[in-house]
This record gives sequence, structure tokens and C-alpha cells, in this order.
Amino acid sequence: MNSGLIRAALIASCCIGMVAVSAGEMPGASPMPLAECKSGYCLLHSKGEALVYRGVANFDEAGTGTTGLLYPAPNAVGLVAAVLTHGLLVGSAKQEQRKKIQAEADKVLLPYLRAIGEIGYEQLWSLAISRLPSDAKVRWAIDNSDLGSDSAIESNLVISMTQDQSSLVLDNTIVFRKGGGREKRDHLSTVRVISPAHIEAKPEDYWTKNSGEQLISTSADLIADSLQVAIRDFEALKSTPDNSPFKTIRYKEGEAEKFERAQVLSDECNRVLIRSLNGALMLVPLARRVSGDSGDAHCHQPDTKPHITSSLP
Amino acid sequence: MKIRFAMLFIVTTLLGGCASVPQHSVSLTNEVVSPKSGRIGVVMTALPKMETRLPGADCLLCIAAASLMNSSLISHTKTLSYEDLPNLKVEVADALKGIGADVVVIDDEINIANLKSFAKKGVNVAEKDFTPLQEKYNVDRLLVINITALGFVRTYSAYVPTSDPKGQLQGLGYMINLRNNTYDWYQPVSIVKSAAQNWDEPPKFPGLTNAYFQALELGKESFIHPFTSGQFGPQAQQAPEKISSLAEDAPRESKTK
Repeated sequence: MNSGLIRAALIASCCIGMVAVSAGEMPGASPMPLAECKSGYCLLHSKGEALVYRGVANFDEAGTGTTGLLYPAPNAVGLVAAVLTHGLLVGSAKQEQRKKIQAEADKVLLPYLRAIGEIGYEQLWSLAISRLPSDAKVRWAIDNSDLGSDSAIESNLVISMTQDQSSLVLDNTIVFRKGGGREKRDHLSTVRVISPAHIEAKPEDYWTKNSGEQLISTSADLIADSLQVAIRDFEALKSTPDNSPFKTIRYKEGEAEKFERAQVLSDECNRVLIRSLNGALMLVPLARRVSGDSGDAHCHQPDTKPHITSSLP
Repeated sequence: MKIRFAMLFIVTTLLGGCASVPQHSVSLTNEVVSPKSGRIGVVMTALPKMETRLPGADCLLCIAAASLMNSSLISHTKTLSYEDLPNLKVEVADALKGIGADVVVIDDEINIANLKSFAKKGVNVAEKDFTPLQEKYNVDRLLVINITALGFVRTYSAYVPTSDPKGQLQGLGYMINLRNNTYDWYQPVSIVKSAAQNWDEPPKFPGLTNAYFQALELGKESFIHPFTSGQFGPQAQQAPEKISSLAEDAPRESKTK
């Protein structure tokens, strides 16, 4: 009965735009087996924070067209009122359209609702932190009292599945606060990490087998990578800014080839770390090698999962 | 009564003169790109200036209001670069050489408006007369890359924007058989890319600028892809004779109309 209600709630939430896994609320959430925050970066989380799953949406076709309109305008005031009303109606229609596009994109998650529902928020974070290299020094903090004088991190996660169901895309907005406390923000980092595409005849079997093992494992990998990238970037802030030129980078999002105008920060093992025009960091699978770079020799082993050794100063 | 019929005839004739049959896409065939079919010249028209188009803001006051509303974006549009777009004809020529065609890149920019109208009308017959270019460039076919719009586009309904601004590339790719002035290939390209998140970030509009470069890259691919799809050349002799347009067969994120 209870699981039926949860499933119904998940379907309903998917239909209105997303599926959220909340801290300490979802079934399968385990007690926090996380290291105490004594040094390094303390990861702050509080109950109610959520990890959102959704489908990758394409808004290229958004817009309500160029239909002309004759305004009923007996005088100037009437004209202004008519234009304002028209603006409100069009604005509302545009918002509705965006919601509709996102809701349509979220339908890709329908085969995964049960698996997503069984992901424990703390369990996922615990797995992600365990996959960080030991020098990353990220620990879990329950509240501000654990912080001391260490740097605190707050993280906001959105994980999207590509429409071909071959890849997950993590958008992690990370706030760094020095010296503890939630008041002072030192740095905001936006990181996107895209998993390599797994082409499967039955993708739902790949992601959901063994109680969603691949879904959890890939999500944890993406979170770990995003934290690692953000921390290196934060630590490099004191150094000279990167003045390398912006160029158009081709990368893979699922099977689709995408483009981003960006600076290349590091390039190894068929993944590239780039900084976009708006300053966001992106760790993405390369579609084609950056010209003049043949990549690292150790990347020839397909299962090698390298540490991110960026060229951040 | 006769006067009424005469008036109706005149009005119908005048209105009919305004109408023109739109040119539909023409798919490429293996014979066209075969070395036996003669030499192909690849040429580009002059690139259009960067602009922010505001279709749907049609009345004078609407245009003024829309231009004012987007003044910061219009200023930014002028700072966008063509990147390596002028080199597109070389890339297309290389792709054609890759499938065995006899190709020459024509350095001149072609001005279509300066060509005379072609006397004969018909299906897949070009409106302009390209035939004099056969002798001028010593080629049998002419592949024309005509980029018609670059920059941003934002649709309007009178005074009200109906979409966010988006990066845009529009153009036409076609190959003319210079012996009979007919299209051997005709492919309209229309790429529109939205900003991934926020677009309204003056003065540099990073999200929209990224969308512009995405449109630029997808647009270039649209012109090159028909010749690199693996369906032409010696290795593709067993392939079906015709390929569909890029809009139908390429797994792209924006469609080519």
C-alpha cells in the first residue's frame, strides 16, 4: 500500500516536471555512514534538500510564433492596456510551453521511477564521497557545529537522462563558504558532468538491474567528478586566471554531438574539462579530439577511469 | 458584364504575377558527384552582416519598440565573429574530393542578384541564369553556398516578444548543372539554437553567444554532411541511389528545413 502510494506520487511528480529524491525522506535512505567533518571541505546538507531527476529537454523550438494582432485601441490608454494584456497572455503561454516541453522530456524517466524512488539520498552521497581521491578531503557535516574553521560546501544537484537513455547529465551548483557558517559566500561554481554513452538494446535493463546499480553508481561517479572539479577550480582561484582562447568544442551528450564555446582546461582519456562562456565548468566526453592533441597513452584501456588532473593553475 | 470579366482577368493576372512556386529540396544522386560527370566548382556568396532579426514586429512603431527593447543585444550582435565560416567552401570541396569528385574552389564571391533571369521556367530550373559561369570558371556544375542570415532571431507578435532570442544561421546549398541551368541538389538550411539557460545576461550575453556558435557549427555541418554521409563515392557503389535530406537522416539537435 505504502509503496503504491509512493509510486503514484512519483508518477505524478514526473508528470509535473521532475522526480525528486529528498534527504531523509525516500525509502532506502540509510543512516549516514559518513566520516566526521574534522578537516578539509565540509559538505553541508540539511533535511529537505533534494536530488532532482529529469529528462534532457530541447527548447530550440520554444516560442509562440509571429501571429499579428490588431489591438482594439479607441485611445492611447486603450492601446497601452491592450499591449499589456497581450504581453501577459503571451508570457503565460511561453511559460506553459516550456513546462510542457520539460514534462514531455521527463517522460523518458517513466521506466526508471521505481529505481529512482529506491535511491537513498545519503547513501548516494556516501558512495560519491567514497569515490573521491583521498586528497580531496571532503567530509560530511550535519550542521554548522561540525564546521570549525573549515571551508563548507553546499551542493544542489540535478541529474538528467538523455532522450536516447544512454547517458546521465549532472548539473551541480556548488557554493563554497570559508570559515564555516552559511552566511558568507566565497565562491559559486556551476559544474556539468556528462557520463559516457552506454548504447544498449534495452537501456532500462542496463540502468535498473540489481536494484538500479548502474543508475546509482553512475550518479555517484558524476557527483564525485563534479566535486573534484569544483574544488580544484576553487583552490586555483588564487592563481593567475586562465587566458587561453575560447573555441568551439564538440562533445557527446548521449549519442548526440553537442557544441560549446569554451576554454579547454584539461583533455585526457576522451574526456575534456572546459570552461564555458558564462564560467561554468564542464567535464564532458569528447566527440572529436581537440586539434593538435592526440590524448594520453594510458587512455587506450577503455575502462580506465582517470583522476582529473586539470591544467588549472 | 464584359468589363467585369476584363477587370477580374487583369486582377487575377496581376496577383498571379506576385506568386512564385517555392523550390523544393532536391536530393543528391551518385551520378552528380561521380568524376565522370565533370568538374564541380564550389563558390560562396558574400556573408551577410550579423544582425538581430525581429520577425513579427511589423508595424513601424512595433519595430521601434522591439529595437529599443533589444538594443543591448543588437549592439552585442555586431561583435560576433564569422569564425572559420569563410573557409566553408574549402571544407565542402574537400568533402567532395573525398568521394572522388573533380572539384575546384572558386575564390570569387558570387553575387546572385547580378545574374540575369533565366528565360525558361520549370521544375528544378533555377530562376537566375548561371550558364555563363560554365565558361568563366571552366566547370560543368556549380555548387553554391549562400548564407542568408547570421546572428540572433527573436519572434514577435506586434509589440510583444513571443520567444526568447536564439542563435541563428540560415542559408541555401545548391548545385547547378550549367548545361541546362537545373538544380542537381537543393538544400535549404535553417538552424535555430536557444540558450541553454538564461539568455538575458548583458552586455556579453554568454548563453546566447554560445547558442550562436552552436548554430554556426551545426549550419556548417549541414552543408558538409550530404557529402560525408558515406552514401557517395567509390565505397558506396552499392548504396541506394538517392539519399534523403539532412533533415531526415542526420541525428542533429536542430532541424534543417
